[in-house]
Amino acid sequence: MLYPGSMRTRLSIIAILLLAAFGVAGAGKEKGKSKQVRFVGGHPIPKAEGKGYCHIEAPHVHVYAPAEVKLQYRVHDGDYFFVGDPVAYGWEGEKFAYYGHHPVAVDVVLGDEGDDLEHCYLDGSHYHAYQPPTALEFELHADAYWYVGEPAPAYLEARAVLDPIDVVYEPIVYTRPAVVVASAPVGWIGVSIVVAAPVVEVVEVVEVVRPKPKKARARVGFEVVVPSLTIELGVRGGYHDHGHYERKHKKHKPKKHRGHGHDDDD
Amino acid sequence: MHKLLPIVSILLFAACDKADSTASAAATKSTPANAAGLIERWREAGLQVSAFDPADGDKYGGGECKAGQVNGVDAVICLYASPEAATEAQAAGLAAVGPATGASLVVGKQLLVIADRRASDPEGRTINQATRIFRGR
Repeated sequence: MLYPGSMRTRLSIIAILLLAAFGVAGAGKEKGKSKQVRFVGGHPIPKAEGKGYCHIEAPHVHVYAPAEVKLQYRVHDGDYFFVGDPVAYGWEGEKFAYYGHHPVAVDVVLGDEGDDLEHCYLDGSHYHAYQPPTALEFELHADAYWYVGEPAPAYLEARAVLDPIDVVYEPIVYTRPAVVVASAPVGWIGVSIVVAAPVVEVVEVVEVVRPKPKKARARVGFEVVVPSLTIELGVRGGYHDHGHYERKHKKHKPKKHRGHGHDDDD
Repeated sequence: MHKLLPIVSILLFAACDKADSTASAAATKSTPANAAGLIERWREAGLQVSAFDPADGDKYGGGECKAGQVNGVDAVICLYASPEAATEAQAAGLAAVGPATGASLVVGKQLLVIADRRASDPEGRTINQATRIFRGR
């Protein structure tokens, strides 16, 4: 079973906090720049270290700490494992589109034995450098993987702490996968996780995005607003995500869960 | 029809046996068995590999070691008497990396210690390629 339970996620978060506080993920005992920090898998290189993306898949060490460690990393066997979108940091290798939150079978990704299951809390369309394993219930829909299985208790428990990861990506300009669909797959986690509050409110929205200095954008559409989920029914009769993740914009609409906007650049 | 079953079974068994042998051979081929094999695989992959000369094995837990460079990245390949001995030497390998980006990896009886001490591999592409080949991936 690929649900090791919530204890592991709690431990992972605690380990992240401890590592962030004390920087103990290293073999070196030297101070300052000489301290080794352990990673496994590719990950962003902090700006202060030259930025870009480290391509080393095997367990390895650097003499710098990861950036945005609490939201972007999990601890796997004592190593930092990046769970964000590598394309945002310049990854040019093989990539696979996902939509919404989903589990990440860390050991499968790394080619190891084990059942470490972490979760990606990125909203909307995004990339990872790996495909989901067949043991997990994903549906390939509109060229993106959607998680349609049962949300693990660990996912729900850690959500409040880890969900704000999207804030990290707001200032990053890069092209997300274009996912155009008329409806989400049945059982998609983005819908199923709101069963505790099954009120669905349909509102017509005319939204004007606050103009930026050089361009103004507007959009008209219908939105299905539910707690923790926004499904936008756009002008073409489907909701879609063009993937151009822009700097944050103010939305003049009822308060709802953060979601990727319908960013039509005119 | 029934008379043909034994023949079909034998043919199927032979086919499966051959497939297993092929898979086994592929697995063996995918993981270089020694330093010379690894260096050859690196060269075949287009990496610039220097000469690998004998190195002090005491620094790496008593292995039989050779040191050189791959695309300007320092690499040490050590062979041990057993996989357990190689695993025990892994921490010494990591310590030998020092204040640099690097890795200390074990496959079977072999240890690969690789360290980018001259910052010639800022995004880890060389280390990734070299370690992928070492790990048979």
